[in-house]
Amino acid sequence: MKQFPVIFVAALAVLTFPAFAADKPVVKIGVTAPLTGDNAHLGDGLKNGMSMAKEDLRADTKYDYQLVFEDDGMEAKRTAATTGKLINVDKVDAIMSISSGTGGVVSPIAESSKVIHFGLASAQSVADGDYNFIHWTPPSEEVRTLVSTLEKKGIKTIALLGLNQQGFMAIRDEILKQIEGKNIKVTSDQIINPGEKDFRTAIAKAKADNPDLYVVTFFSPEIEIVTKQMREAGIKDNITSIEAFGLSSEPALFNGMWYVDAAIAESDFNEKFTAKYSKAPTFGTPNSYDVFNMLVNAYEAAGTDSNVKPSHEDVVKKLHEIKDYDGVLGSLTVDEKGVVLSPAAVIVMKDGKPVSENAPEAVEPAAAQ
Amino acid sequence: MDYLINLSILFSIYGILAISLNLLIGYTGLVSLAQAAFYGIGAYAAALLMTKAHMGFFPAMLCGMGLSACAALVIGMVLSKFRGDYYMIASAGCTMIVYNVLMSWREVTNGAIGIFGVPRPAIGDFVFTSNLAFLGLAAAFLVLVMLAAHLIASSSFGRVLKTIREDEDVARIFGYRPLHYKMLIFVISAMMASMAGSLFAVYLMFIDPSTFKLVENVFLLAIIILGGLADNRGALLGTLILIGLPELLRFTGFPTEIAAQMQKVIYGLLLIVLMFLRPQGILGKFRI
Repeated sequence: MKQFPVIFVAALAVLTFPAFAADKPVVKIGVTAPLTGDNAHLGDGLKNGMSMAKEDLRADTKYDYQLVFEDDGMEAKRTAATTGKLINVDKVDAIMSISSGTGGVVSPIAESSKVIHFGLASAQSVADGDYNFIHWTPPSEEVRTLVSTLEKKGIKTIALLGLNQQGFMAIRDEILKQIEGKNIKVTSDQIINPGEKDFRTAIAKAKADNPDLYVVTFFSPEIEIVTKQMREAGIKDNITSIEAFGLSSEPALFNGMWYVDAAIAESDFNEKFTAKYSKAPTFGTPNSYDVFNMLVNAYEAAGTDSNVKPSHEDVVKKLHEIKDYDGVLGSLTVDEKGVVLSPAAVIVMKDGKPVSENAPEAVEPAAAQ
Repeated sequence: MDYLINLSILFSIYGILAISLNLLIGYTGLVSLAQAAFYGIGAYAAALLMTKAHMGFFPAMLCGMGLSACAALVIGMVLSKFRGDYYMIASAGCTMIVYNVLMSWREVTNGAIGIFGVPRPAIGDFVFTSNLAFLGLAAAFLVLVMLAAHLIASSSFGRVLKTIREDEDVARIFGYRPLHYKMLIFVISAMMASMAGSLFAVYLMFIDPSTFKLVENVFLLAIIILGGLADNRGALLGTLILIGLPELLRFTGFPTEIAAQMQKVIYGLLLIVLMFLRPQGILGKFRI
């Protein structure tokens, strides 16, 4: 009986030893994304991208990395609540968001709370401040690739037909800006509000000017609907897009067509992801994988003591030092404004699969905007 | 604590919206789906005047309220031609018009991209930068709106509104002009919603049109029906439940893979149970 305390203490020590042994400081990364609702597939892709990056992480890191996911339904009021919870309750060190609208809500909160924020957003204002970053190929870069391709192909007139949505509007504005002074004319510029499904009037109006090429920018299912309605109107192959074909749930519809997309992920990544989750990566999935790894690298580089987490200021400095980082989206460099510069690519749809027409590295990243 | 402060700010803003809608639906029987339109006008007026004209928050908010009042006068006149379901459908059309103006008038509203960098309010040198200070401001406006709503409800004006709600012809027989009363409460309610919009814009420091869609009216309608119509405490209780419950469910501890979906399922079930047990709303005094 006298031996009981000794045995008890010994057992307690054995049981708790692994906990002490594995007691690395924890770096928490929060994700606010639409996990339910119309855009749940985007949030799901982000969640899986981050989770896969965590699973792929090497074992000898100085710190433990944990992920916290919150559903914001891509609504401003819920994003304000999820961001508040992630920062104040979960005490995350970094947050990732998707879309310019969500990023616009998170950005000022992250800045005032001095929490690192990565937005997958095309609106450059999301990167305002010291703690905000964007990992999304900027519209200026995508449009630069589009315009140079139009020039190479000798296209002189284009018709724009696009959704009134943050990202696509940024692209449309950039097209109008970049073709100024060039030998390319916009014959028709039509903006369609979300919810529209019958584009026949807009198509007829665009067709009346007989442009060389139609540039259509919509999400699925509108992108499939507009393409089918264009075919009904006798417009066959002279259709292109920025990003939209890659978002389609019927990619075979665009077989043989070329388009410009944000940096595309390495095929190894796509195959591994598809094998693991039995579905293809979505919009932003490879970006989320890269964001996780860039954050880990910055933390590991900033941390001088494995018992103490580096400050957010030190991690921000390391993030700004990222140059030619070998991500799944190619060679990545963070500019002084906090935008991860990644090249855009010209893609051709073959057998329902996007294939790079030119190697991404052939396109020089644009200077910071 | 900061998380609770954030939620309390949202509660204050949506409380103002709920009370403003309750004045229309609960007290007057006007089932309006135009509240999100005035909410949006207030938000955009404050954001634009503060970022482009560098106006202070309080004058910008007053301008927004004035603009909403003017819009409400026009919309109210049009809506006065309708009754019942037709009134509701026509008012929904107003929200759709305002939403489409916000989306399409890109030169002014910046369209779908929205307005970034809306500054926080300031009084002299004091800026409401901290959320605690901002909560004080939002709560003060909520109290102000509650007092106004209480005064309206307990006044002879409020009694006429209730009479109109029950039977417009009876009000007319007693010598009242229902149109004037309905127009006045519509304008007051719009100004309150506009105030909430201004607060929302400076709280988030960013706005885009997505918050001011038709579906936002459905959310507001759910708040006042759940809390109980024709009772301002009911409107606040409904706000507390519909803002607080989804947040409470974040702490249920479901596995990550299914947490968001399960929270939605439980949220839906709880609402069904509540409506089953109290179909007139928790503190309701009137049913649509």
